[in-house]
Amino acid sequence: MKAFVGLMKILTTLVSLSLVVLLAFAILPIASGGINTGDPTSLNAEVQGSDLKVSGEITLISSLNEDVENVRLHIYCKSETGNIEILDQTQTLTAGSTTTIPISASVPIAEALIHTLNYNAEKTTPGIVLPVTIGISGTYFHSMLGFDFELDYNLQVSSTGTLDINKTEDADGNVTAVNVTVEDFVDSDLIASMVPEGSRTASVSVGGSQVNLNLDRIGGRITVGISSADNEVLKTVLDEMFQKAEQGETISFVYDGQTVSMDTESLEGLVNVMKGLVDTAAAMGAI
Amino acid sequence: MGMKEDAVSDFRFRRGSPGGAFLSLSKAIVKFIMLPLGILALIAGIGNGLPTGGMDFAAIIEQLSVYLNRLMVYAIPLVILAIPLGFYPKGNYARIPFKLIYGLYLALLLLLFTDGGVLSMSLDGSTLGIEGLTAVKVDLRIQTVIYILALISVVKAFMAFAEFGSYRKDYLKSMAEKEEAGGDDRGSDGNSDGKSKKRRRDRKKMRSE
Repeated sequence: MKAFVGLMKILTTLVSLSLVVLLAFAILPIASGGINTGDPTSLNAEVQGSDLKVSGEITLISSLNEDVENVRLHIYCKSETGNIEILDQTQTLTAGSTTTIPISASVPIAEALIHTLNYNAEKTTPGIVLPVTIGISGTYFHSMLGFDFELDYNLQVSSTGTLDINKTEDADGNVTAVNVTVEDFVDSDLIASMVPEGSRTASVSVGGSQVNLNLDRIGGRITVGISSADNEVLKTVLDEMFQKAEQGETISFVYDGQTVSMDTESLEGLVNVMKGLVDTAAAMGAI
Repeated sequence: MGMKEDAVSDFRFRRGSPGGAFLSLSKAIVKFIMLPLGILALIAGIGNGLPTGGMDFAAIIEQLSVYLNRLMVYAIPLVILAIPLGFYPKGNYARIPFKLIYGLYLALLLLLFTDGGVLSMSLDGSTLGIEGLTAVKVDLRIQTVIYILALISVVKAFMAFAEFGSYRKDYLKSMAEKEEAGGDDRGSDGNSDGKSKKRRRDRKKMRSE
């Protein structure tokens, strides 16, 4: 019996110590820079239809002894009304080697632009940023260790741009249209890539409820306008569109004269950012 | 009946060792209070010596100190339980409940302190000296290790019974020797017959074992 007790004590102590040592051996390589990024490759962004296509690659150099599995790179724009997904892909980071992660993301221009304008609506200083969250997660050392990094980053859309929001209200003070003007940006800014030179219109309709969008870039000025057909209360129309989409009614999205397919999830994302901008405009003082 | 009396009498102050209690308390204080403080001082010392590159290391130290402070607070019951564990020798009935509670609480502490095996740290982006970064959140998931350690703690808790069974004979022998060597002044309260009967019973039991 004594031998059994002694043996159990030794075993439990050995197992505990081994686990702690294994954990230290698993954490230390990562904490001491076991994963490094290679020379940064610049990302290319170009407008394709109603989307902004972002392409490029990220190189990760691993000096670890074990593979890092289920490495998920998740990039999205976080907002109170819902996330705008930019990139979500998973792969394995092989031990002691270089892994190239290709970036191929498609961002709906209207949604990203309206979200950006709403986020910066109350800024008083020059500069427009887009809040982006970069999430990196994975498992290491036979899944004994898992990690999740989340970096909240303000992506510089324009370092000098300024914006101004104007609204149109009906007799009861409800917002029926919102216009946002962006000025003082330079051609190399990301916002200039998002809105090429010229005028574009878009309309989104679900079951008879419709909202119109105008995206204009003329010279050094960008104008983004949201309005409802027949000057109805914007918020009411957006809520109707949301409900009808959830009930399965047909969604129609026409961008620059071309019909673009849109699923319920995409519509809900667009409606949410538009509602956010309408709320911001409504909260601002009258013109 | 005899077993019940043994169990009750084992809780008596005379059956324990104050020196053992002090040693056990000291070990617990070193393990649960001094060691975390030492780790914190070491990290702070290393951090201050590193080139910061615009990073505010104090924010990271503060996060770590919150964790270690939490550990020290949660560990207070273990430090207190260390006293009776050290006081009562192996083979004593009184040791069983304290060892059981100690082990079970340690398992609970591991799970509570690590939030079920997920260590989190959140930092304001401005403290890291990287332009544009507003916040950083890091989660380290070590559930497998924590659950195994908690299980080991539970096993150790129930080992109290096996330990009791292993050391009971030796304990009773040492108690008998102690009482024979020191004499029994408990007979002076007028219950000497009852106490003598008990001592004779104990000796009989030892001989039969």
